[in-house]
Amino acid sequence: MLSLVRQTISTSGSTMLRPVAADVVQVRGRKRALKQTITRQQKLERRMKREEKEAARKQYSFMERINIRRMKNLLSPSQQYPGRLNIDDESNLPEKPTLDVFIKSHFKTQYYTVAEALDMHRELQSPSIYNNPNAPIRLRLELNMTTEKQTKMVTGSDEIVPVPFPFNHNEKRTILAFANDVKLQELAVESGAEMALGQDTIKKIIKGQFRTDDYDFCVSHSDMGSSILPLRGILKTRFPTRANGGLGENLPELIEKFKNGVKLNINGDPVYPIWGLSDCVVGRLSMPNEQIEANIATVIAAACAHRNPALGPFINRALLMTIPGEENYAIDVKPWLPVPTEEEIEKIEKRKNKKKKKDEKKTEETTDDATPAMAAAL
Amino acid sequence: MLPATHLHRLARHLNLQSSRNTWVLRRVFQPEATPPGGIQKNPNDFHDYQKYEVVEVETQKSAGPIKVILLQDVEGIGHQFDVVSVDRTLARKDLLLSKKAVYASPFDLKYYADMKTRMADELASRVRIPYELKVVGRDLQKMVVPIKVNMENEWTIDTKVVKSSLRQMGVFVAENTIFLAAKPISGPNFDIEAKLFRFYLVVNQQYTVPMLGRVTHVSVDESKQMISPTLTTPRDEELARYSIRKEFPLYSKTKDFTEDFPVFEHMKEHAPTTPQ
Repeated sequence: MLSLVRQTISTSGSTMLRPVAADVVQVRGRKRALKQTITRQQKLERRMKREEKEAARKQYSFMERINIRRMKNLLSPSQQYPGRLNIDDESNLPEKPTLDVFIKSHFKTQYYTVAEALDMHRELQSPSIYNNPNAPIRLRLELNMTTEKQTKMVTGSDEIVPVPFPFNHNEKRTILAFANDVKLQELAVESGAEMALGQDTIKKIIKGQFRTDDYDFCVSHSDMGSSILPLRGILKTRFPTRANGGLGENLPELIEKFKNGVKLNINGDPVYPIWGLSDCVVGRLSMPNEQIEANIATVIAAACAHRNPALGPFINRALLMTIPGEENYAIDVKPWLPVPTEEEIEKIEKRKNKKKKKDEKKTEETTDDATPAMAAAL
Repeated sequence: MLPATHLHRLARHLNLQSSRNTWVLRRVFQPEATPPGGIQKNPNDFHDYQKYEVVEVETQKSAGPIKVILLQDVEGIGHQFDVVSVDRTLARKDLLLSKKAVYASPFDLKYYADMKTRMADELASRVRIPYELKVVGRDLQKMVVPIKVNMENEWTIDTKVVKSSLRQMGVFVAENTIFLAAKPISGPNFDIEAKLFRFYLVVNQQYTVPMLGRVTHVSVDESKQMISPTLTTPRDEELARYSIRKEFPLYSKTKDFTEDFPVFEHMKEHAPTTPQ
């Protein structure tokens, strides 16, 4: 390179100050910069930046990214009929109607008791209108999926909740039973389990030779209590424990309980991850109000167990609907929501305060940086 | 084209005329009180004593609502000669310019109060429909309510059926506010599918709103659905075909229209045929 420069100089001595010469100097300058030692601070910063970029790229796979983009163009499931309640939208509407005739959209959402909502549904499903007095009642829960960690949401789950007043739901439920004794296994199959497994199959499940995806729930006799422990990671929410009632002595009773239970699935919204939806059938219109109310209470208690109550209400709005039907009434679920203890609330608040302090520091720094720049610009 | 707000801001920048502002400031560091007998220090000697923080900027506070006297009935705001406080922008851009209102100056307050006492009889005799009733009535009149009835079972259109159909349209009513014609409509009868009929809703026992219902046969079975025209505003000819007269809401000052009031007969004679 240098020889080239010399050549140009020798051929036309006066052009030394021309841009060609300047170019060469620039290259040398950049090379020198490469050799320059960087401080530990700078190194760390660079690494952080690089890692951040990589993490953002790795968060979703290629197909997932494409799916997310596609979903963003569609309406999110939470926004589809009957939509999601946003309290800010109706903040300047009056609270309660004063007239005996009122239009729904002119007031804030009116919450009804379960009995009132059911009566309104029964009127609509009466023989002279829809004639479906035994319609299944659907409970649609709009959920808030945020957790203590800002980047983590409540994970979706699939479970069966045993309800105090079982009803005919016309759905097929496949239940897997674990029992050591062959007689017990036979008993389990007789009483309605899809399949009964012993010790030997557990290894197969772990290896992946036996798929458990198709089973809605698992029950286990207590003699298998310790040997099914390795399956916890595979079965996840379907894993039988004493807490969810899947582990016990009396297999036929357990199976019966879960066969008649309510299937509760919590799904995160693919477009807005902080929202979630849960749809389940909680009873039939012909059942007495108290029974349906008891069922709803158990389902809501089971759903609310998925999130720390101190974070605020898990349920944004609960709608009572029928299948089929578009009619929906918001019900008041406050009495059934779990009450957080003071300790839990304190914990959450401490966390928040810490975050706030951090943010404040950050903003101060940025403003300090910004002011000299502004001054220079002016 | 710049948005109006930008233009406004630009104009303010260009305006070289000085403007007056009131800033309320507070010292960041309070100087110590001079001990009795001591010599007071010059507060400007120490830099920290020259630091101030802003408590408030008077010009940035909104001035709040303004009091005006209405010269005529204005919907949603008030009646004639009422002294009301309204939003400043609304007053300046609409009420004051169009002479619907004047500033509540001491002179005008007295002047219009006198006028109000002079016109008391006339004002009392005037029929004024409360605003909230008017709003409900207007929205109700826009609707044609599909009255849902079963395809297979025997039915007669009664208040219960109408009530649940109204609820599906988002209108929540008490059962005793619905008034149907004496001659019942019953079925299933596919000849009258999509037929319009008149019924009345009485709001607060004071305001009778004529409504239109449309017979709509429904079934839970999705394969058995009727698709009838859902024209929201039927034309006059269509109304005439079903021998329905075009009517507008009727208001009564007292709560006359109780549950057993013959609303249909009353409306036949007294219903206004022009909008009020």
